[in-house]
Amino acid sequence: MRRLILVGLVAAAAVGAAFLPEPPQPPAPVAPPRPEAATPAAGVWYCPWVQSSFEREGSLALASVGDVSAALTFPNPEPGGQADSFSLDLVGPGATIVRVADIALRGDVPGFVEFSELETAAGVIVESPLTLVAEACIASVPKVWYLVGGSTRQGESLTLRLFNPFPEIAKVSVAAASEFGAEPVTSLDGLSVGPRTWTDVDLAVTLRLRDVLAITITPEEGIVIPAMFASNADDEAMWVGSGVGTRWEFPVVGAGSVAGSIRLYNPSAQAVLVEIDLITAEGPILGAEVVQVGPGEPVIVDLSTAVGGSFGAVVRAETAVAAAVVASGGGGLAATIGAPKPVDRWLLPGAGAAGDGARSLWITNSSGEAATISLRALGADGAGAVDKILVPAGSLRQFIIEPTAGYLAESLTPFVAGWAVQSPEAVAFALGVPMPQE
Amino acid sequence: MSSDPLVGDAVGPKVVTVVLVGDPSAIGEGLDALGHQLYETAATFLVGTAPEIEGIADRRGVKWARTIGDLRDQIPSDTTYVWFVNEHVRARPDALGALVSESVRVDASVAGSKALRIDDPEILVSVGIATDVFAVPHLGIDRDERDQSQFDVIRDVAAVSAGSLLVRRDLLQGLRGPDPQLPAEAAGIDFCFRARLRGARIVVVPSSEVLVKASGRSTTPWTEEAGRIRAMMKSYSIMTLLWALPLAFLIGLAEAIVVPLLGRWTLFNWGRAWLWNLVRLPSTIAARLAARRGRIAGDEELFRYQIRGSARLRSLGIEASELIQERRVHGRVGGLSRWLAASQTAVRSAGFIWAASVGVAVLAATRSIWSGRLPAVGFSLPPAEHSADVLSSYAGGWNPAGLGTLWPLRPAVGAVALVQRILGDRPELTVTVMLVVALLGGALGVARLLRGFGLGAASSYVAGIAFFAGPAAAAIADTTHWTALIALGPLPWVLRLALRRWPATWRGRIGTSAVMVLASGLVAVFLPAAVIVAPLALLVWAIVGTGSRWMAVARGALASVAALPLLFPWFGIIDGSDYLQQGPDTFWEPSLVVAALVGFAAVVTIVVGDRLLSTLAGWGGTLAIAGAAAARLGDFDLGTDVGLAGLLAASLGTALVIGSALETFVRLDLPGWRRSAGALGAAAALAVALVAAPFILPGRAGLPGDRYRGLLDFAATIDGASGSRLLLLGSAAALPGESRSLDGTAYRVISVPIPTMWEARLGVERPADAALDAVLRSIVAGETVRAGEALAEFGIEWVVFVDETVLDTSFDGTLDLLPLPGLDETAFVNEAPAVRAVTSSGVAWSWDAPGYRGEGIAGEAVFVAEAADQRWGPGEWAQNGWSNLLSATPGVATFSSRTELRNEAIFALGYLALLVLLAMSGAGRRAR
Repeated sequence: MRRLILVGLVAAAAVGAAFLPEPPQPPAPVAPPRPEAATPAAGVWYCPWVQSSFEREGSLALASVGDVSAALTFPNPEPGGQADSFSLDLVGPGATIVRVADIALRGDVPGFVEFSELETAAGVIVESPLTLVAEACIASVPKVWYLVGGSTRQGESLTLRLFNPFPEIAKVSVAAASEFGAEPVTSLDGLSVGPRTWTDVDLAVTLRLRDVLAITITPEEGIVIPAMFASNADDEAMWVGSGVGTRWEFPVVGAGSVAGSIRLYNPSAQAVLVEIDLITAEGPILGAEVVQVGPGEPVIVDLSTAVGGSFGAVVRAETAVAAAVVASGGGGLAATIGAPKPVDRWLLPGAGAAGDGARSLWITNSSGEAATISLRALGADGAGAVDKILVPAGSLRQFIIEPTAGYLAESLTPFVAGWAVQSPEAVAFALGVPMPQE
Repeated sequence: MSSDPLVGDAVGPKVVTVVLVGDPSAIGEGLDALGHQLYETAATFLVGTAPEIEGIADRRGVKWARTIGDLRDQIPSDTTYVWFVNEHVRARPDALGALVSESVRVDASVAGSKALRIDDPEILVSVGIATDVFAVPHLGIDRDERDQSQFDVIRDVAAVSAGSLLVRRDLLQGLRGPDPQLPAEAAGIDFCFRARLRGARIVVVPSSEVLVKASGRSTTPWTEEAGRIRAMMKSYSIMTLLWALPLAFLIGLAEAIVVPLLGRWTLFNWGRAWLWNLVRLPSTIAARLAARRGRIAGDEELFRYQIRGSARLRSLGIEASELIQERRVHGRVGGLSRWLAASQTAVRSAGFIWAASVGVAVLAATRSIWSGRLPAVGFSLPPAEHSADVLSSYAGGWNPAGLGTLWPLRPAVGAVALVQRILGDRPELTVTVMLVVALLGGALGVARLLRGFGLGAASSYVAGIAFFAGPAAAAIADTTHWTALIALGPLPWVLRLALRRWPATWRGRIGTSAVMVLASGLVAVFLPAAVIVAPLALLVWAIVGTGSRWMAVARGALASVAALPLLFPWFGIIDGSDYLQQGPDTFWEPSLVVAALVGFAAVVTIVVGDRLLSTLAGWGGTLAIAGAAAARLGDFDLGTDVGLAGLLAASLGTALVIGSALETFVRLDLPGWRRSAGALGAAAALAVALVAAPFILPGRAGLPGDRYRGLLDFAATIDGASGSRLLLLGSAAALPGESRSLDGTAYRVISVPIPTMWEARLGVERPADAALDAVLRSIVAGETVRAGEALAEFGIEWVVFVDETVLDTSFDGTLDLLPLPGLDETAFVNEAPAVRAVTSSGVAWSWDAPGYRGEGIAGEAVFVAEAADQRWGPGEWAQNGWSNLLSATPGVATFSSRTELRNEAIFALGYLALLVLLAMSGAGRRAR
């Protein structure tokens, strides 16, 4: 009996122990809410192409909504070389122009700007007696970069700049597509870009005599900031990489004698139908161009004959495409990327600061209601008086601006802003910088 | 005595007889037998170093030589053969004649006789010797095989015994005779090996018969073993030795491990034999040079007369076959039972051998710790370099874990530091001593506990090994809480003392009580939750046990309560329920097979064992299952220490089951189902005990392999940094000690290069921790690209991902964290200057744990990256956000201990000293 009780005791305890519930597993680690395309949350602007030499005068245009301090860094590509850096404080709203030569006189000097606040922007202006280049710097980093536009026809050069401002080595895969379809270039597979330096790929050598090119950059390790630099006999242009989207808005496409074209690239495996609305001072021309873009195909949509004078454009696609504007004519060459969506506040660093020609601000209101835009010229001492400009629904307003370091444009109605400089010798287009939405 | 001058000339070659005398008292009959030889010898020599031999030689009218060397000079030059005989040998009258005539006939240089048993001359002892390559003899005859002339043919053999060996004089001179350092058999083998290298033919002459005493020993004398090794080293080529010697070593070791199961013990013989050869290596080398000089044959000539494989393993196989045969004859279980009982009887008389076996097992289980270092993994972290710092921190000082905390150090940390202090501040020695003593103490404690119940040594000590290395102990080690393993040591002693007869005198009672409190205190210090294991175990015994037992429960409970003051000051601060919930929820999932085996062994023993063993099995089974249940209470919000305490109880219970199951089998004599069941229960218990192998074999006391030294040593290697911190990210299980969570990804900071014991537990979160958490969140959200600068504020110079996390790419795109190539894991070095203490003019101070030291600068402040606390000083203190700002003038930053905690620590130390004194004062009484 005693043995039976003992066996029963052991058995009962065993059954009890066996059926004890397992504690709940701790929740699985959560990846940080880091969007595919990083927003300019860090207040850092990467400027992949700036030049400062005896031929060219390069400048960084800085603009801010509030008081801010900024640190400019120009990495030194020499092994162990000390980066050139410069700090300044900016009273907001305000803007300033920083001559790169005052900090680093080393020809090519890509750099980056770290602001202490988020509502800030930076742009690049590079001038020579016969050329003018302007473009906003980059704050957001998509997973895959696209650079559409540019050609390697006779007399034109095209260079891909891959800038790695970070301390880890970056390895990227660069794919190219042209009017001949996908271009297998093995030398661009697994391209390494050393930490805090950059690599240039001369596409005029690698892919000679292509009318249209689209470049896709897929990082395998690390991060690069790409830009495309194009030149012809008359002028130079630079535009930065972007992601893909189903909508792109370009405030500046055609400007007088400068014939604009929209370059499209369809990275998907299916053909995509793309509609282009033109936005003019008189109103929109909806569906002005409708094109079918084949899978992996880059196309040029020439808008020089679509409408005369100045105009902007909205690109709408069924599936995500990459797009850019390249304009030439009248002795100039210009290029810029588009805005994925209108917002209600834009900073335009460098607007009014570049070149000797006509400096103009371009605002497109693609919405269905009129927009009243508050414009303030920005200088190192702060902002000027507010100018109110009415932009009717679906139309473009282009107006000449006075020399200054930048502009701040605001409205209750979302819009897109850009700026341009035109002279007999050169032309430059630049998209404004959208401010984070509340 | 034979005539002198010689008469052999007339009938054949002249022969000199040489009697090798080891035991002078045994020489009489042997000499008489030699005197009756039909073949006249030219002379007879006694050779030996014993002083009485010369006298015997004088009395018997024969010659005497001290050594073989002396003998060689005295042998007349016209002698053809020398006949070596042993003093024990009784040669038949025609033995020499046969040897001489057959040697001449077959042109043999060495000839040996057939040996028969002196007490039964019909039984063969040897007819020549074959050996294996390890010079181990293989006689080729069965035990007690009768001589029916079945071997009566002259054969070439590998060797003949030196008991009766005829050798040509010229060969003898060339070989300098048998090796005087070797016993007879080994000397014969050695001599024959060397002779064969010179091209000699070696034969056995069965018509020459000698009577010898058969060895009654089942174990080869160690001198024979040593002689064989020496014979190999003298004769074989280097190439052969390169593989033969290691193999011989391993085979001997394997035999030493296996033969205890057959009731023999060869480990010490094996060790002595190799040690003997090590000591005599110079003389062996000299002898080898002589042996191989002038050889005309190689090793292959030796191999021709050797058997394949190992004679020793072959012999073991035969022995096992005989055992199986015996089992077949007597019934399977009965044979096994007798075999086990015989084994136990054989070794019971030498209980110390079992204790030594436990010692060997403990040393083997900890060999990589005492020969190297404690693996740095999880909570298994080495003690800090300076124990005084730890003790000061324990006594109310600053706890440097993470970014610093006021949280008191665990008593185990203080205890380790105290032992380290006693051992001369040697952290590695401290860990070794504590682990070895604890594991050994635990095993011996269980053995003593069981032997107190009358169990045999084998059952008790096997249970002891299972206690410190069984499945539950392995589970403890697997959690990496190495200090919990130390709690294994004193636990069984608490039970043993509580259950033993209470001393009759007050002094003895006080001493015993003090020892009990000390043992309970040790359990509590190293695993506070386990303080109730002993009282609960005694309570279970009181419920299921036999005899007077409730007093033991009272003693155990009182000892546990009385042990609690040893836990101060930690005990005075912690919240009991918080403590019991600390750490990840545990849920022990033992192997189902092992659990089933333990359960089976327990139930079988309860059913078939005698009353005591049945009760012991019931006690052990209940403890094992209750402990396992406690280790599975994670769902009830009970933390790691409760689980570890449960595992401690489960380990104890398992050991009790194993001991009682084995003993049950040994004690059962009656045939029938109970015996069969008992055998199966014992087999199950043995199988569970074998689970100790994975604990013992790696040699890390069951702890996982080192993880942090290889991973993090680079930080110290690169610049020898000691004043900075390292941020680790990974899974919680992969990080050292406790960690904090960033949306499920664990992280923590440690001091460079690897954390030490006192940094394991982080304590409650303080503003400094919240600040670091905020910085990390901003980095992973991409809001901070100057991550290095942000981390430098915390003194973080390095960032290392210990394993894969969802944050692996979160540090990509930062501007000032430089990736470190060539490391196994992702790691970054901070470009921003990161030090834990820096003056306002940028002068870094070094970490002088737990404070800081540097250049004193008047009028400046020093920023100290420790969690803000007003006890930092000396001099002015200001809170700087989450950190401290002090005056840099003194050149030091120190933390003022909290007086009440320091007093409590002193009280605990005094209480410990008092207990030790009381225990010592009662020791003599207890002993009597």
